[in-house]
Amino acid sequence: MPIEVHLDRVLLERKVSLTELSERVGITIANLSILKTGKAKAVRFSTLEAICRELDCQPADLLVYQPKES
Amino acid sequence: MNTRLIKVSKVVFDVWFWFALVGVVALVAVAPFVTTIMDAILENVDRQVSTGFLGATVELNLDGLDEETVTNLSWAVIAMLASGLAVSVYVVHQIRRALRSVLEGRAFKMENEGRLRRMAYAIFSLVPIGWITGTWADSVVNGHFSPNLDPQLGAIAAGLLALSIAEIYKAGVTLADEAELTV
Repeated sequence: MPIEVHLDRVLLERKVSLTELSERVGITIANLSILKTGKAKAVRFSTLEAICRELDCQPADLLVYQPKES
Repeated sequence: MNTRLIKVSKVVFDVWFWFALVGVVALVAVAPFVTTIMDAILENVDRQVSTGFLGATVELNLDGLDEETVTNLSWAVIAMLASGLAVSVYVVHQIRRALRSVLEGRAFKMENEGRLRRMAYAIFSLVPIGWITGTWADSVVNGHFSPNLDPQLGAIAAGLLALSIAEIYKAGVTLADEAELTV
């Protein structure tokens, strides 16, 4: 998928574990894992807002558009 | 709903859907053209037709036909077989892609899906119109209403119905899949 999720990088930079983020934002580890591994089909704005608030980052830090080379 | 089951059933339905779509498009686009040519060539030839659930078998008595007519007939048959072969190769290729995607855990996307879909819908829209017009014209000429219900049209109608059901199911499965993978 052209949209890459860099949640793992941001977690590493902030030294926050997935479990801790899950508790802070109120989203299950399973769902965060779906997002982290790039399997999510859609992200709610509320989820994005919660993650950015807790990790003190911008959506652009989490989501990057990488077009496929034809 | 189990995500893996959704994905596998989606692939199976995608493959079946496109098999039906390409097969019916080929039938609508090619068969009437070739059968018209064959009818013109064979108008004075002794024929016996036996029909079954999946189509018709034609036995021809070619004794007494000149060489040119036999040649034209041969080319018409070859054209029909070649188009059928091309469709089969295309469908098999898509099935292989779909199965490979399943094994590798990737999503399957039909090649040229949008273009094929639009073309197919445009052709399909002509089928009921043509059938209604032909039936009306036939009733005017013959003076009574006699719908043409030969096996080819039956197959097309069944194909269209199957496509509609497949489309609705596909849309439902896609929605379920996206709902489960929305975070």
